[in-house]
Amino acid sequence: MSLRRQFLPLLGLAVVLLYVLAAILAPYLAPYPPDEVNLPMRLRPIGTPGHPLGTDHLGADLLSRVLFGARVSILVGVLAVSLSLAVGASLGAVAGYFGGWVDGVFSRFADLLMGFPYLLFTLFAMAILGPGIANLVLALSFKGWVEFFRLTRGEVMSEKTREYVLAARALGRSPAAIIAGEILPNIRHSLLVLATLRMGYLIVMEATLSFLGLGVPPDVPAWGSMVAAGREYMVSAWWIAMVPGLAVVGLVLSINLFGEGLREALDPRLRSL
Amino acid sequence: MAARHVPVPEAPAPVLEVRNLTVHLRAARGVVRAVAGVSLRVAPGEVVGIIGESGCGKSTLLSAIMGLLPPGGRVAAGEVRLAGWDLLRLPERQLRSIRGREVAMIFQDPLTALNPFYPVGWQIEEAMRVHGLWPRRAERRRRVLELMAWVGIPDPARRYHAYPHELSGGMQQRVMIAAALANHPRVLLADEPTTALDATVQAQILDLLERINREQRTAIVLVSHDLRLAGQFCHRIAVMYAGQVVEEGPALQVIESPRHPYTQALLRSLPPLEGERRAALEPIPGSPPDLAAPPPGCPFHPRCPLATDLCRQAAPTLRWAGAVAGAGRTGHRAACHHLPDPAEEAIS
Repeated sequence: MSLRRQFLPLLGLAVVLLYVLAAILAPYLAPYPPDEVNLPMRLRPIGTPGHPLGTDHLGADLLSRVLFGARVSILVGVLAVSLSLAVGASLGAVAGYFGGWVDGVFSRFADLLMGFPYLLFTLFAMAILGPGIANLVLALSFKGWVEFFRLTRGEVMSEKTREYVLAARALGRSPAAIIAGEILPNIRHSLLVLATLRMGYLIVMEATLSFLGLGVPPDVPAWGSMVAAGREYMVSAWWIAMVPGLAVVGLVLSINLFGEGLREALDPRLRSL
Repeated sequence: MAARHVPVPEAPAPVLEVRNLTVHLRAARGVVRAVAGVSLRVAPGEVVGIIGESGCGKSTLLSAIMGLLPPGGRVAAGEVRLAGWDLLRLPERQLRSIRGREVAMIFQDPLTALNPFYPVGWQIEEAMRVHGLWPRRAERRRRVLELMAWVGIPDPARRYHAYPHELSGGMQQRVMIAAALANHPRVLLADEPTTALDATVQAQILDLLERINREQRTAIVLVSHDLRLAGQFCHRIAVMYAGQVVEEGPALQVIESPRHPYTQALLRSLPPLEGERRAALEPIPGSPPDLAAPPPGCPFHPRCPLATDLCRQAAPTLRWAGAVAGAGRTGHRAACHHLPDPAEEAIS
């Protein structure tokens, strides 16, 4: 099935691209600086002239804050997935290709990490590392590589038995050249699909950590911390929490719609991911 | 009698020599002796056929020569020498510089042996690039196109960019062969190279292999289950059964006067040729032995019409089995207790 004939995944892709565009152009699109305090204008509802999405308890423009918040979520999501992919795929390819004790060591370590709940593990990591975007990326990747490791290891193990690998060895190619040059190109689809689907998950994790105050520093606008700030006003000014909350939902939903469409289009065999 | 002492012309030094090779494979039922004491000499420019049913160890023998045994495979004894290198004792790194340069291999199913991700021309060029014999890219590209044309791929400049699945089986096999020939190997190992192809394409590929042997003086080891095809194509044939060579000799002699009951049975199991006085195919009764628990004595005795108590107890070794005594040692040998004594045969 081609991606072209699927409506929802394409809609997902379009929405994701809008988010990315918004994040990149935030300084130009935002009507106000995201942290501009304007106490006389606090707690204005959605639709207020000049503040289409309302203002928060300090009078800051919610539209501006949500636009800047997209930068944190997308940046952390992209970097954490990239780091996890790089580490997981490399170790997984080595473990899957060589097997033996190398595989044993990496796999047991991966099993060990799988034993910890992701959120708890990342919470501890952030508590030690302290807030910050780089630390978020690190903390999310500490365990995030495991998924990529397991996928790559399995795929390499099965590709390794295919005859083109034997033929490449018969031509005198080295293991490194065979892994990077022969096998990885043939499993790129699986990795791409997993990366897309993990992206949504990691963005939710980032929002959760920021909600708990362990994500980005307080002065950086992030969707999670905006929801947390709006929690006290849920009754009187529900939009403060609702606007960033919906921003998270919209982005993650779109990413997942796109990812699942990608999976169907590239390789329906991967449904278990 | 005196004729038996006619000096044999000194055989040229072999380019590939396998001595007493034994390979163990770890299987679910225990250790299997897939190759049991095989010796083989391939002279430069010679075409040697290795014939046998599936599971007789012929493909494992090729893998062992390349040093590419599957996981669980181990050379238990023996020696493989290629143009002076002791392959089984070379470190992996050095072995890699020999694979694809001095000895190359082609496979049964070219579609699975080519990488689906890359254009075929790129794959041939990669085979050249690995060994760095032609460091300049433009020259390499020119050589790839020449080679593609030489192996019979029409319009090479366009086919260079084709993906394996876009070509026919015959063209795929030509690509595989071009990649194997990229560095002018001394020996080409061909593992059932025509089995997956149509009959007409088979003949074309065999013609190509023959041309490679004739024009480039590449020695070829052809593994096949088709004794008759090998008889037409090879200079010499070794028939394998249960991991052992049971008969070997000049191709024509083996085909026309097979000495081992297994070789005879193998020929009778083929459809009769035109004019041949034989009713139909005669399948060989029984099935090949379980190599995890090979029968005592001659491995063929459970299926052999000539089997006696001697066969059940003692394993025969390869003995001279020249069709005509005194014609010199043609190199025709068979491992059977029931070979007629050449001297007696000559007298009768």
